[in-house]
Amino acid sequence: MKEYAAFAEAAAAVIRGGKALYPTATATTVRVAGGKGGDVLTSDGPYAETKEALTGFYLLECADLDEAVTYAAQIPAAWDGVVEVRPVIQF
Amino acid sequence: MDAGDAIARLVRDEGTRVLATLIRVTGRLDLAQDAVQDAVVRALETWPRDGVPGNPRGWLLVAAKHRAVDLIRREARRPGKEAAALMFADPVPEPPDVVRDDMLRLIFTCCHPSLAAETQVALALRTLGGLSTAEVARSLLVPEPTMAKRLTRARQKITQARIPYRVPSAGELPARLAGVAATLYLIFNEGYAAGSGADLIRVSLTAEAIRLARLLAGLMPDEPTVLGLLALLLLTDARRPARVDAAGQPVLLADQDRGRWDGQAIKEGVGLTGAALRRSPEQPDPYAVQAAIAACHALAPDYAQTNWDAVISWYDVLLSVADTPVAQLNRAAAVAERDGPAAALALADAIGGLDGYPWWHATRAELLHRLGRAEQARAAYQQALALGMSEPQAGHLRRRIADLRG
Repeated sequence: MKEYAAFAEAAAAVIRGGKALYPTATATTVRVAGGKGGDVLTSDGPYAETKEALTGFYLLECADLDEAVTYAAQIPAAWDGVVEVRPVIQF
Repeated sequence: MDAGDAIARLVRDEGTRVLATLIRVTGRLDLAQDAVQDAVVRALETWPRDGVPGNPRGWLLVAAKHRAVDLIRREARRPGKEAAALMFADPVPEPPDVVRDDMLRLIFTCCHPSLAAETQVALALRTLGGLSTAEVARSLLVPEPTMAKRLTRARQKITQARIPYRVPSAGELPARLAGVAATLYLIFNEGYAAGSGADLIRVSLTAEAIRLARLLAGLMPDEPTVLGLLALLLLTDARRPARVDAAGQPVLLADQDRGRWDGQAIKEGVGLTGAALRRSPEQPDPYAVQAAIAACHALAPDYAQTNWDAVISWYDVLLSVADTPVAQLNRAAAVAERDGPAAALALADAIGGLDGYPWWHATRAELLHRLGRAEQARAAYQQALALGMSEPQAGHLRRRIADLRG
């Protein structure tokens, strides 16, 4: 946690949000059969059963991908796991 | 080269530079590419008829900017002011150092590590090489619609993920440059592995890779990785005329007619190897070291007079900077020539992790063959064949199996 606090301080200028998530064992998958208005089907577990699981996210505002990668490399999760960088769609 | 070819070459070379500049000015790869494509087509129509203009790059840039303005105006959601501003944004001609930086920006964008290797190869050929989508598709043996989609997705990713149009900072440069070199090497290998006359379109990829490496060397004349890469490509390509016989069968290094090697390319490659090694004395660049090994072969008057001591010690250097099982295997093959097959077989057997690599089995087979252990050799040849390789290469191994019976 201390390391995450250090990251939050180092990246304060670009952090716009973010949350930590409970482990995937707590996940519920939701899908609506047959599209909008159909039956709501819920099932246990994460959507994809993989070794990597989404454990949290940060919302960063960066000038370009290289800057985002520079910050991503400072997130402690990247040191013993993987951080995925995704652009946010602006509507 | 006739006049038409010379014009086509000039248009292609300058077209890439103009593209690099226009991407910076417009901030949009797709728009810039469409605009430059249009200018290139018009140049190819008018220059052979009316003569080459005094400032070909300026001509292309003005034509491409006009086209870009048209395209922006056609997109109704864009205000006309932006288009007008574009026309006056930069005076023509661009100063040479700006053009140089634009080219580097384009190279590093096309070879950004967030793009898949196959995408980098396709983008480099399309954008830096100036090949059409159809030509890129043909050279990489991919259907044209598939290639068109791949290129479109790549351009979308560059825009959406905000891959920057920028030369990496000094700290990032070594890793990013290694990525660029790997992409150019991949392009070369695509063409080199194709090899024979039936694959002429693919062979042109070797020329394309050398052209791009030369371009990069012109932009970064002091980078050992760039010099080493160009040296390695030239020295390897120099042997191409002797690599296949009239029937399209591969000819081993030992049996090649060295008179057919390209002496000019060897001379240039050897000079570049020295330059690259001098610029990386502490930690030699892996491409420069591989070029040094290629230079040992290129400078030997015949196979018997190869300086195997030098070859093996360069492999030792290579293993100290880039230790891979394949490099160890190649070193073992050189040891076979100096110390005999038994010593080499012991080295080859000690390499782990090459079970799925046909050339590990083929090398072991050859060494067992020379040691007279026919049954083991046969089994190893068959393991190599079972893992798959090109038809001419498989034909060679089948002939070696037939030799075992004799």
